[in-house]
Amino acid sequence: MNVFHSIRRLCFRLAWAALLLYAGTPSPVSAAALVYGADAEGGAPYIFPDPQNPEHLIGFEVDLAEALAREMGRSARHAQTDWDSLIPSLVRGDFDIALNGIEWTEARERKVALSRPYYIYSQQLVVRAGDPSIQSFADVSGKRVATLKGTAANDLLDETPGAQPVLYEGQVEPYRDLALGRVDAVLLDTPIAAYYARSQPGLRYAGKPLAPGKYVIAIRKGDTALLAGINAAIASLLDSGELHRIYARWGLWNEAQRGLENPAQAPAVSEKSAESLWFFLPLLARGAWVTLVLSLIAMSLAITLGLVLALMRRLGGPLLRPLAVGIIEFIRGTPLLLQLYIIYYGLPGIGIRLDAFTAAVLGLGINYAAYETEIYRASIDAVPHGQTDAALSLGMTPWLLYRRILIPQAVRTALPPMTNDFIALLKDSSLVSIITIVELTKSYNMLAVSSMRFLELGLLTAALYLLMSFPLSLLSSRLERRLAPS
Amino acid sequence: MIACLGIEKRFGEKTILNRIGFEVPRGEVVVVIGPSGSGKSSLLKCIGGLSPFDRGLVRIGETKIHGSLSPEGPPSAATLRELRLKAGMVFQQFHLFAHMTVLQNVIEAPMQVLGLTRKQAKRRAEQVLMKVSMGGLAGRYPASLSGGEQQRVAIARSLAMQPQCVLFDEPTSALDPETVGDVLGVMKELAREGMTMLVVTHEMSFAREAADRVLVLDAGALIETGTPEKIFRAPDHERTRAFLKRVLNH
Repeated sequence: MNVFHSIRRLCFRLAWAALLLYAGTPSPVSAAALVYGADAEGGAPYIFPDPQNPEHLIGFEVDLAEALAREMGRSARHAQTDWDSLIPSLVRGDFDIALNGIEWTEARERKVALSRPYYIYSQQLVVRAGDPSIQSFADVSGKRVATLKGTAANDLLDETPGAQPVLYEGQVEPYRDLALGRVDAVLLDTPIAAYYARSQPGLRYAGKPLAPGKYVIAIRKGDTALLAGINAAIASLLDSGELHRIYARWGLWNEAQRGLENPAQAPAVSEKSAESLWFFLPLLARGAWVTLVLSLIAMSLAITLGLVLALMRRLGGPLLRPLAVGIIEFIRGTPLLLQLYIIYYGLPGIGIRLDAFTAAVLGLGINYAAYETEIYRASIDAVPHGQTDAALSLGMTPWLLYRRILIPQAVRTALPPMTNDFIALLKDSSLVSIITIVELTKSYNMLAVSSMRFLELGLLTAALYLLMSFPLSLLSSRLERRLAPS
Repeated sequence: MIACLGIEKRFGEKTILNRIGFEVPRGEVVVVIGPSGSGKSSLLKCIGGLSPFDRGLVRIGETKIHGSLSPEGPPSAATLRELRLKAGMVFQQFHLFAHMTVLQNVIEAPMQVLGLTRKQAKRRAEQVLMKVSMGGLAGRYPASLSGGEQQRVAIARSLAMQPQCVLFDEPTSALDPETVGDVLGVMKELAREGMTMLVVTHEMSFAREAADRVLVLDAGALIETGTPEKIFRAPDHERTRAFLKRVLNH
């Protein structure tokens, strides 16, 4: 329903995972609530944290989702998912519907079921007010034109000869870069232009909206009852005038919406927040908590698994040894991001469905285990060879030799690089936002984009990261001193 | 007690040990001398089961290990451990476990390998530490001890396993001159008590006073063996004479 709830739900799942390393929690889809997937990061005016009250998500699609759910006798609940991942997440069953400015395309129609349209959008070209060289879309040849990756505008630019598309992940950054002169124009959907550009002083619309298209709701193929219900609800909202009211409230009603009414006044939503910075702290702290818990569990896994791999490599027979080497090389030789994608989106293909938190812990833990193994190996090699001679001459088995003599001495050598790795892991954990986890960096992104306070919030977020990593450095140097033979 | 038969070890083209055979009867002290690089330490490591050899055999008590190229093949891990348990080893660089106190060094193997309780192991440790006059320093870490003190602890550590014999690999070569005497004293005391000992050393005084027999190694071969009296007074071999002349004139 809002970020607060989804984080709370996440924390609850965290606790589960932490206690049981529980794999494969049941899908969050419940019969009572209509769970809709949408990306609240940089999502205005569709869905975004309220600048006045960032714990609450607002947006015309939030209103729409609630109205739809009401029509269907259910409640609406939001599930945070990267826009890029909406369709795969829907398919793997993370939520009931994907409702987030999804344009009707033939390709999408092939993958999932699509509802009747709930909004007619167009593309609006926006340029700097002081730049006369672009008066309409006909002038974009040879110009750098910013847009969102994977959108209909992206496709349109790709098909326009001479245009140089510059692709972004978020919808705020294109307009910022336009104002900063990094690009010459922005081509984006009318709701986005209306929210971000219409009221911004240094920018102006260039030419009329073009290339109209339809926003639709995506539903899993085969979920025919839900599809029928959604379609009926949209029709009912249209008839009752509720849809009109919602769009009017957001300044999105226009002639194109079946030409029923004139567009209302410019959007009343301000993108500048006058809230004190401390107001955001609890929200960021929640993200930091997710980061910390995730990193701690992942690092514990990395330390243990790394040791297993190191011992396999050292003491294993002709089967275990090459296996360990193979695993280590595979993990070290491929990007963490790819590994996370494979674990989260790829494994369901062979019947292994992990919830996001377990997948994140596994991805980070396995990845870092490969590096810990190499640290162990180097640290064990650094123990003088005489220690091995002495232990063996006393009749110790290789297992005893490692457990009692080599590993305890190697720990001291290994501790500083391991602390390094843990701090690196703490920061790498921001990568798991791609599998829908809202951790510290993701929280920052969502809040900064909605409040436009990139710098202050960025520094606050950096302080939170330091607050987590600096005690680790202290702890490590203290441990090192304690482990040193007096 | 200790028997070597035709031990041969090569490293590529280089012969490290060339068909070495000798015996150390129970209770005897045998000293191995010879120029550096003559293979003394390699021989000791082969006998102690820490270094493989190609041909021949080593027997300690009833435990036999064969060279890895011999028809019998290399020893199993279990046989090797059995051999190592029978032969205590004392190293030139002591090799005390750096992360353990003196007491922990001494009780570690009796508890972990022999399965003694902590109490039994401590009682044993007190006895052997007393024997090497290190009883008062049981709580110290190796890094805070002098070389001589560390070597005496290393001797105690190997005695705590109650081996049938002890192999010493140049036990005083890494020591400051003033601490050499303490370590040699402990070794002579052990010899008087009847411990079977095989000692590689450059300390000719120890050989003269404590050895029952002296072996002379040169270029990987055993060139001469005899009582200390004979070796030091009237060696048969020209190379023995040359070696003794060099070391005794120092």
